Amino acid sequence: MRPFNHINAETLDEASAALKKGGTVALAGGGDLLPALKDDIFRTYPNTVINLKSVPDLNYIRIDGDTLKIGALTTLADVARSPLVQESAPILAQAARSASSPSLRETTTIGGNVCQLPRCWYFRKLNNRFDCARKGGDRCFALTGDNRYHSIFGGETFETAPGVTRLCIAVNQGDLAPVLTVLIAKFVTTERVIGNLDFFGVGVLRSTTLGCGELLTEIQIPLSDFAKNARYKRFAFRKSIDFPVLNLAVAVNADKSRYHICIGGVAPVPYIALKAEELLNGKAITPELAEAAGIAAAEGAKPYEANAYKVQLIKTLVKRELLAL
Amino acid sequence: MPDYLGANGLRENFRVVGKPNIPGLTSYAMATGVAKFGSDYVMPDMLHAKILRSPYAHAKVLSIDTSAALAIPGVVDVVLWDDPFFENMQLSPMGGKKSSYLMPEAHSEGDEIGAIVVAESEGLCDEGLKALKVEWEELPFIVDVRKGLDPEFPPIRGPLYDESGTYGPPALTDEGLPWMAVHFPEDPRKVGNVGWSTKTEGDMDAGWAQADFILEYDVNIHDVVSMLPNPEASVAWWSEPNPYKPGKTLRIEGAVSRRGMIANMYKLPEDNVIQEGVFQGGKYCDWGLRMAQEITPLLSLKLGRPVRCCNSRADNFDLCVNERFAHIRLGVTKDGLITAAEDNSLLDHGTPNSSEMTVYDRDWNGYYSLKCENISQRYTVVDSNRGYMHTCGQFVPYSWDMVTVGIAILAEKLGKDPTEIARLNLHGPDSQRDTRPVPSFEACLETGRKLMNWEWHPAGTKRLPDGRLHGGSFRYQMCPRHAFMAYFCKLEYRGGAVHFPTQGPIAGWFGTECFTMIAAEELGLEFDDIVVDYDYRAQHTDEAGGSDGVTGHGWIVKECANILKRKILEAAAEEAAKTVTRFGPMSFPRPDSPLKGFSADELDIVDGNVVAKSDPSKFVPLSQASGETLTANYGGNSPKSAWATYFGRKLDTMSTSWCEVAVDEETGETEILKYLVVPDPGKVIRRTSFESQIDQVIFFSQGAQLMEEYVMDPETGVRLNANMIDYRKPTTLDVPIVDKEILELRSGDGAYGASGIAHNLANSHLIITAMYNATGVWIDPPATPDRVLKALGKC
Repeated sequence: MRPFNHINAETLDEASAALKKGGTVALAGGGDLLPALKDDIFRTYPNTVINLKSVPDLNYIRIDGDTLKIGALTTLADVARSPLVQESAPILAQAARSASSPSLRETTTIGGNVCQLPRCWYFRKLNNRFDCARKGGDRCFALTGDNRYHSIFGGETFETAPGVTRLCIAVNQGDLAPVLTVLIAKFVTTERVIGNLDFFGVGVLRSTTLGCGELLTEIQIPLSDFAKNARYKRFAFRKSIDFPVLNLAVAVNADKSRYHICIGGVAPVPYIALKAEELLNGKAITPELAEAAGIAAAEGAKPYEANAYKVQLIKTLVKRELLAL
Repeated sequence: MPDYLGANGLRENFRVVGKPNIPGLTSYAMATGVAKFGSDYVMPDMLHAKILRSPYAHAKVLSIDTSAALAIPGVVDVVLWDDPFFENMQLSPMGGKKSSYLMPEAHSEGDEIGAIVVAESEGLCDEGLKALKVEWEELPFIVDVRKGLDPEFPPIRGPLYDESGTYGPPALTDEGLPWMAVHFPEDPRKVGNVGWSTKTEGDMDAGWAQADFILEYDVNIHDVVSMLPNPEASVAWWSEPNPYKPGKTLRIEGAVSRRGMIANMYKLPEDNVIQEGVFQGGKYCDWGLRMAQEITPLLSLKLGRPVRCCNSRADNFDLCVNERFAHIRLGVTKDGLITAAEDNSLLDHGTPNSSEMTVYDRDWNGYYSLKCENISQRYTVVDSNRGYMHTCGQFVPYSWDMVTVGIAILAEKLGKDPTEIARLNLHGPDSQRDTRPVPSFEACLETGRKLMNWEWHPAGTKRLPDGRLHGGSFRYQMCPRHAFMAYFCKLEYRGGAVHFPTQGPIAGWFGTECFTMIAAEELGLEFDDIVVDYDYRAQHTDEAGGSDGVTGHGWIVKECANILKRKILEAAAEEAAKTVTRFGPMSFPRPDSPLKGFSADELDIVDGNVVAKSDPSKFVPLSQASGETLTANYGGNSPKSAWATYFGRKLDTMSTSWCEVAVDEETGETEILKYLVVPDPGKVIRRTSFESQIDQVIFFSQGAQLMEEYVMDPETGVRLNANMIDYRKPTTLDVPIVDKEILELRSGDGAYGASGIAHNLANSHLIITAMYNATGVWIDPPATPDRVLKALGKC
């Protein structure tokens, strides 16, 4: 790892100000940032790392009225073992417990998990070997390269010249993103409150809608029927220390009038299976309906030869999780 | 053949050998972090070094401007490939052909090339490497060996790597068998990047004529990475001559058990190289030092300060199994007897100086275990830029599946149990024409069938209650023992205790413990009674390898222990005969020893005491048996092993492996329901090591068959997953429990009739074969869910 300045932020304002100056990156649990620094994947190596863990009062889990509130610096391990989370939003505890490894979950945070950068192996190749669109380059190497883990629902677009747009097909593989999406979570930042549908993805250069110097402080989850009637399925090639190739959250309210289905690992942002939701809304699950919903969830997919298996996985896993709901 | 030749080879009662739960002597240190590995050494005033690595699959450095790097405060030096200082060192004996120690040409992405930055910290080394202005010349590369077959593709190896000298008669073993041949005189000469090598034995025409049909199948092995658990690293520094040791003395830590090699490289007497650390992460049959382990003495010499060089995780993703695409044709009679075997393999030759043994081996493909003597092994070998293959023996167990896969496919074709096809085709103990059953195989087979409740079913015909497809598979192999080299052992009775001086482990395994157990067994002692002296100057090292070597090397230790025992008994008898105790010129009467009057022949060592055989109540503790220092040395070769001498043409100790899987057709997931191994290693020496090696087997086998794959970008040849997240070694959650039923028929030819276990139970296709039995569809490894779904037509 190359040398950098390290600052323990005392306040969010101090951290925000430092980030706005440029050349600075924020450190929470380090699960995403430290490997990136070690592998030197960025175009420009940051000269300063500002540590957010020294900012007080960002590590908590509490119920406030009809909302479960989780501080951004709460570790995944704390989320996973919290009786409050287990009681009020069990799939969030399940998803937190499935991420990473036991030791890393003790340090990595819920805020870091939802803000993580894409898991594209071209983007992550050490020494910025592939100066791709995510770094300001003019191409997505996965489009013509090995894209077995990449998007099947299009990509983020970017312009290489006025009027000339291209795609980046990196995906969001975070464990928590689909879960927070189906639970209609809100993301509280130093500047605003962002709804669940607006937080993830805003183009190739950012993985969230957080602006420069804007910091996530809290995640709010409404204590609704959805939080109780939900399932999370993670499909990874390895049982530990692996990112999901595809993950899936399904939830339904008490009268089954509304279903929520969100799939990770198949698109640049958590993919909401709207057609499947529409098919299901107001109906009780039957084997035939579950199968049809699986097919509907995969509708619109445009896979590449190497990642067509994800279509089959969507069909199967949506069906199975609905049947188990 | 049982251990007829050695002392006590047919011993019936064992007190120490085979005992479970004898802890490793270095285990506590390793488990608690006390152990110091090469990367852990820190010296005062120490510099750090990092080597430039190629970002291209094949490239030359034309020039390097070092000015910006050298301007960084803390960057001390940048050593370039043409630095005259490299002339001071010999090339590494395992480094192959090179014009300079550090080359200006890289043959794979990540290859060391052109420059070494030395700085006050690792971070500053990184900074310095970034600041180098390198003028690169990108060169054509091959990472897809099938594309490398194109005769129009420009040669990727230069004249330095001319192979014309490798065409000629093969070396023959004492038994007249060609061994490890690269090219034969009649092989076509290399064209472009492609070479050919054909080894044919028997009468292929006759073999085809005897056949009722020809079975064709593919066995594809993808390359697998040897992920060393601790990075290769060394720290070196020099001390000036002193009155006790003329000439400069080199201290190096991290090049474990390779002191002689380092001494040779730096033209030093071996005594002038000090290397005290004994710890090295476990690794499988990987024998090469890396540049990070070799270069530090040179840099320290140049800069006058201790220097540390440590590879990163990405730097030590070395290939240990090369790609192989085998298309095999078997001539078969209608009842399943194989009459001809033709193996047409396309192999990755790797980057220059890769191990030829890893590529060209044809001795351990398993064909020689068959009654069929008509065997043609036709290799097409393509130079590539996929990576450097160090000398590594992992291909040995994997290659055996060329035959066992054929048996499974043949069974499906004929609708017969594969165990019966194996039994029909396996030759007898003494030769390929020996039709008698092999007792060890029969025992392993029957035990396995019983424990598996083995009921073979044709492919794709059995579903489990949960709807998944069920499949089962079986394979056999020979328990191997290599005995290629002479071994040495020294034991010493000193200060009333038995000492075993050793350099210590060479590859993180527990050979020392095995040898100590054998010595204790022979000397009538307990394991803890023997003092193991880790001493870098000791001649003994665990260089024999894993279990394959320990049983041969253990034979030497057994002989040595018996020599020492005889000396102890003679000294004890002499001591017992003494009537006075002498102290300088004075002498004092002493009470009679209980052993007085007994000769050495009438004495024995039992439970740590020297006892009279005729009356065990008469004894003296070993610690008081003699005041002398007694030394026993024994060196030489152990008895020849069937495996390493006849490569399967004689069969003694065997094993069977069994696997049951469930395949989910809708997700492509495969679950291993049961994995059973029934090895007959002849005799188990250290049960903990033995069982651990079996667990390692499933780690390897499951990884290679279900998870691991080295992915290279087709456009650039760059490795996309040289990290522990994207290159998926199994975790402990992934690896199933391996059921083990160990037989000990004592028919090996190492110590007490033992053979090894390592190059035996690891395999490349047992799980794949079970998946074939489940689905009826052949899926090449790694059978990841995406591949399974594709093979099943689901995507």
